[in-house]
Amino acid sequence: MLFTEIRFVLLVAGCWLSFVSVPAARRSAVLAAWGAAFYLLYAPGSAPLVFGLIVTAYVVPSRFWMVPASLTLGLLTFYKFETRPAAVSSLAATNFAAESHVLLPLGLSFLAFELVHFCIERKRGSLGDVTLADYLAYTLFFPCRIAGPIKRYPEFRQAMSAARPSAADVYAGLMRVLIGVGKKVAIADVLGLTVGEIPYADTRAQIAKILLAYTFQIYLDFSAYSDMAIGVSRLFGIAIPENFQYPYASQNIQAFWTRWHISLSTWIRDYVFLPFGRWGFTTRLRRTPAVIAVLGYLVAFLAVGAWHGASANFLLWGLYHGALLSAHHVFKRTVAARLAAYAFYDSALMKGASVAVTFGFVAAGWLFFLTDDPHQALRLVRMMAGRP
Amino acid sequence: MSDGGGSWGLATASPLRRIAAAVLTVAAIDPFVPAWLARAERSRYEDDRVFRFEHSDLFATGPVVEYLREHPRGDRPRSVFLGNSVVWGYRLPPEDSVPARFQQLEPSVRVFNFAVNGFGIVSAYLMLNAVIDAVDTVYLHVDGRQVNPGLARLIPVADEDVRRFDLEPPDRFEETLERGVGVWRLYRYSYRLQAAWFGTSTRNYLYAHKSSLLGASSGDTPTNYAANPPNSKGITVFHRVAESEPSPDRRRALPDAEPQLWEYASFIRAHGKQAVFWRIDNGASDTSATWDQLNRVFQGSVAFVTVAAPAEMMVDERHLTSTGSAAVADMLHDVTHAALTPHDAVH
Repeated sequence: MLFTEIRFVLLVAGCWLSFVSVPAARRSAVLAAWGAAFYLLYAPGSAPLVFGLIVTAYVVPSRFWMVPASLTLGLLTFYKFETRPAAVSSLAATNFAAESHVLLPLGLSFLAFELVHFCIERKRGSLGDVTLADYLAYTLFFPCRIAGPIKRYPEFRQAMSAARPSAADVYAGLMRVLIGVGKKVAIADVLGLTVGEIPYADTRAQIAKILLAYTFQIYLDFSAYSDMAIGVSRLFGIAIPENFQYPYASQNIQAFWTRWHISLSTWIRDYVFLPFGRWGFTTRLRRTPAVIAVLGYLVAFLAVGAWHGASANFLLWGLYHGALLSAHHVFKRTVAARLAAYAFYDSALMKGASVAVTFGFVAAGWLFFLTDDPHQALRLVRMMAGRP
Repeated sequence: MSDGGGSWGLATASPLRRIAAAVLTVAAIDPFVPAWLARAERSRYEDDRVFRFEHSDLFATGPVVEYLREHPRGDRPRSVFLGNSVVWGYRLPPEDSVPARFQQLEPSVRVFNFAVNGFGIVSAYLMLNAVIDAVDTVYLHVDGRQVNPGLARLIPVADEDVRRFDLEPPDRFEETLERGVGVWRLYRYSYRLQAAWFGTSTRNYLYAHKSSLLGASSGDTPTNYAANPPNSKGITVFHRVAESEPSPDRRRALPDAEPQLWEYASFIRAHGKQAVFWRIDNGASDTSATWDQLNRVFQGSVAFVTVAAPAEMMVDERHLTSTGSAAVADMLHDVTHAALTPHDAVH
């Protein structure tokens, strides 16, 4: 695990010492320099490409924002196709393609979405003056380069300029990193061993057990990486937005997607779902807003699936969630709207049942993540349905 | 960022004091670590408990190799068993694997089961190479030539072997940094402590014992335990020493016929150790001429033995039942005494 390597610890220590010993105005330059050092140390092969993309997005005038945005997304798509992993055990592993001769440049999945956000918002004029140092600090900020979260420029710049690293920050940051390491090593990785039984599973109960283990493994693993990123950022006094808010306690699938990988879901909402909806209302579809919503969900979650990897499994998983959100959208406006009149609809029992049903649907969706082979996924689904 | 708590959900009262307390606690614990380690390792590696890599996991390879290199002489002579799942004891409880059966026959020797599923003889050789000075007798199961490419990241492997076997090179830079941090003994010995306490990583241990840890009955039913029907047949052992020395031409050809076995046997002899190289060939009806001649060339140092086991002693076409394991252990015991005597290591 990169976060526990000594060279990473030394990198953080070096960066922290430089960060606190320079005047506040120079801090973004310090973060940028150490971010560049991180790339040169960990992924020297992909550094030129990453630096090239970052520089391109900055130097191309904002009215031509489509050029760097398309280039970035094009490269991301290329690498997603070239690095379809042999097996996916962890969302955080989307950075590292296994069994492939082409390596996804370190952190590209997260960097690409940050760059596209930057291009779009600069074109919209919502970023104000952007200094090169602030921009480089944002794009090269290494704690978030490994497994996110996907940052937003205005918030990051605000957090960076407000940073006054104190002993309280150091303590809180270290504790957060420790919590992350503990979650990953003591729970997620242990659950991973149960998940590893998948090739031998041949009964419904075994698959259910593995699926349950995977459901918690994927959450704890990924949220642990977010904890570590947030914790390391906190050492510098920089607040990074939370990426998970107890997603499995959600009462419906829409709530789930406001609490799971929040930085990705809000990005998709802002740059895919809402633009699609706005476009939909300029067409004949405006008379049927429900259709726009349903199509919007499907398109948005196809994009979410594709972001995880260009394999059929991820796309099917994305469509599955798009379909769930669509169904929820319709349900909310029809059945739920009528049920809301009854007192029991607001009862704790009903809320508990909603959490359980939502959890069941989400857990079932992880079947697509368990294996990279759609046939294998279908085999598991059939077996779960009792038709081996 | 004046308020460190609140939205972060972490108490922040006197953080400096908390950091200092944590550092002092770690520093206070550290001097005791070597003693804990010594006690745990002694119990794990010198006592009578069956030694094998739990779940055939590679985690403990590094720690046990490090221990043996640090303690080249144990309380008893040491025998290491090298090989793959056949030696590890696939579908067998630890006490029924070949090495454990051998340990029952030779209580005066400390037996280490160094087998790992999927290990070929190259992996076995690399393991042996790392501990050759700390062992006395070697039992190598010859089955497959493959090598685990990640081995050089776990145990010491010479750079030349890393290149020769196309292994993933160890991260020398990180290793150097780790040595620097090694003054913090809890960090330095964390893997060895886990291996000594649990026989594997904490993670693997939690996984293996999750039922009992969660309060369920610990009566773990070995659902995949290999059936062990009684049988009257024994294994057939093919072990013959060629009557005369091979001709000079033939002797020159032998290393080409079995290059790896030749190299490993020469290596063992050069270090003054003894070994039995054995293989299972259920279709065998006689010894091979090459192995007869190898027996001649390496007489007194390395014995080359083929065994054929009846179907009742096999779980599948490759793996032995517990009766089969006992029979093979018996054979290895006999060969050790008959072919490798005089022998200081095995009494």
